[in-house]
Amino acid sequence: MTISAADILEAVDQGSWNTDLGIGSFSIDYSTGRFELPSFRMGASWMVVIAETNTCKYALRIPKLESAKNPFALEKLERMSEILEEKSINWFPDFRLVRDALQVNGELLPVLIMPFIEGYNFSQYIADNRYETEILYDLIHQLEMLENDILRDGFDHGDISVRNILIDGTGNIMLIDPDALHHTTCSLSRSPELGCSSINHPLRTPRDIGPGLCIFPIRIITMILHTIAKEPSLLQDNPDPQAFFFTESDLRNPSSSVRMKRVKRTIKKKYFRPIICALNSPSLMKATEILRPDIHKVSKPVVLFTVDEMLQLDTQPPSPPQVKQKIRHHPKMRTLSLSDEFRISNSNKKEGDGEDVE
Amino acid sequence: MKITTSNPGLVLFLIDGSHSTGVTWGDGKQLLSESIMKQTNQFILDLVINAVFDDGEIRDRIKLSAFVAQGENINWAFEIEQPPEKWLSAEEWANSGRKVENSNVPIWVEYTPQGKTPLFDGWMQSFQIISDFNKQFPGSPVFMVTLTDGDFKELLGSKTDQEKEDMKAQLDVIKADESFVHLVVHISPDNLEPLAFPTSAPNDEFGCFLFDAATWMPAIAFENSHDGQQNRRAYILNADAGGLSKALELGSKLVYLDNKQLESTPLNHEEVEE
Repeated sequence: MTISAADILEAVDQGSWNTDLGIGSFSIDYSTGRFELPSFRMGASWMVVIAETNTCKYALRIPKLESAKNPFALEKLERMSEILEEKSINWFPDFRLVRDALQVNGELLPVLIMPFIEGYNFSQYIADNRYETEILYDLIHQLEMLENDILRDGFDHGDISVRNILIDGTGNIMLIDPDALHHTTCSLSRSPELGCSSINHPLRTPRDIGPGLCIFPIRIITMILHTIAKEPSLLQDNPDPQAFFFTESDLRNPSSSVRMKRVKRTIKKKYFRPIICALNSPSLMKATEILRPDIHKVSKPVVLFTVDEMLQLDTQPPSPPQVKQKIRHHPKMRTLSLSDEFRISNSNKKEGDGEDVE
Repeated sequence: MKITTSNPGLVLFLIDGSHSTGVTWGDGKQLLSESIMKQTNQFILDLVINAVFDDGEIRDRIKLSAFVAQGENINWAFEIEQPPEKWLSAEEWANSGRKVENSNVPIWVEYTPQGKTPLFDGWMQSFQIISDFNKQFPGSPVFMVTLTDGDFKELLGSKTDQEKEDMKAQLDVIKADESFVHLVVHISPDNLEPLAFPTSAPNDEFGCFLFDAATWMPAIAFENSHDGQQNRRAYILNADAGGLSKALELGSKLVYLDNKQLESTPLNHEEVEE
């Protein structure tokens, strides 16, 4: 049986925790929930609920897609957690993964725990301050620093968008959502997400993997901020974070985009031209090189293992190859789509039971 | 579907509420109509959670419309009054679900099975609504779901060939828009052999008519499929309760999952490697 977001919220509502989360006694926040369900925030493949203890608030991230629960994705998150702590990163909150933490429809799901960032979501913060040029230029400066920090530390966030940037109580930028977080020491061949299409390069593919993925979205946001600083009326009072300023179509067809033409008339060429050149380039890699010609120098892999650790790794016997368990299918249904989430069954089973049989 | 507040989608349900949906499934536990209502309401809740409720706010990314075809009428399916445009904004529909005891799924759509199935008239009315929506929101996606247990005689028996041709012609105009998806789910309590997402039309006239009424499934549903058969109709014939549930679950995902998310969903290799 596949698990829906509604199932997860119901399990949280019923307190179906399977293990101690290590944050002491807590209660779940319902302040902005609907239909007596907990408050939540929806990500691409995980959803977030908020837990409150006497002293702290935590964001509890729970996977809603099958792909987010696979062992490789979870191991990668655990590794990212270690690296963030090791390098004392200040642009991303530390987090911890607890396996088998929440029971939903008989399945045990992991929960990723991170401190809840009190602050503003980026899109509304910009909208509310669109006439405050000092604040907008400060955000531009912070984004430039953020890009340098991410590259210097050997990371890439993988999914920078206005939804994944928060402004904390002191006005500082903080990134959230570690789903596509990547470090040069982690070997990955495929990105788990392609990011928000209204802020990422239209030619980005799953094969594009960090570092450098952050550059295009950061530069687009920077260009948007320059534009708003000159012409605040171009931004709505309450913009939709899914299409904060541009649409996917604007980025795919910049030469015919009315909005892009408006931006061109509003800001200096030096802010506009690199983005247009990047959008017209034949791949994300080329676009990134246009925006950041020194990308190959600043993003050299950082070796995090000490010599001792490497020797230890070398002396471990190789593990035997794992035999993959084959999944059985109803022959008529099997070919439908991508994953378990899309398989259809239809043979004498109780309602809602989606498992296939031979 | 790429849905935003400036490019909202329309989700439209056309539900067969005829007397025949008042029978139980083969297991004798639940009525067809109860399953239809339950899965439709679950679909709508999934849209609230996954598509329109964002950071504590309702975002008007999806307009919703639903009709129940029963007796002689095509009835507006919601308790909230039918607006002139015949669809509700997200602020209107997302907040109008009625919470009930012992269920985590609120009720938006509720009806009592009765009378015949004027589904044909329901289609004609729905196509007009979609046409109006397309005029107001050009290029915006439309996702229509037809749920029926009807048979040839009930749905088409009284219709002339000319009427059927007219209906097809009107549908073809709407189908020309690539952002239109029509999912046709035909249910049956009789445990008949199901036909799910076929690549070609069945031999019988009724099955063929429903096949033609459905659109092709959006290509994103088959991205990376290894079977080389990506042209499948958004159509299920003789679905049982489980098939109905899974079809609508898939349908809601096609509405709220961004194309990019679907494209990047890693393959389940165990599933495709034989």
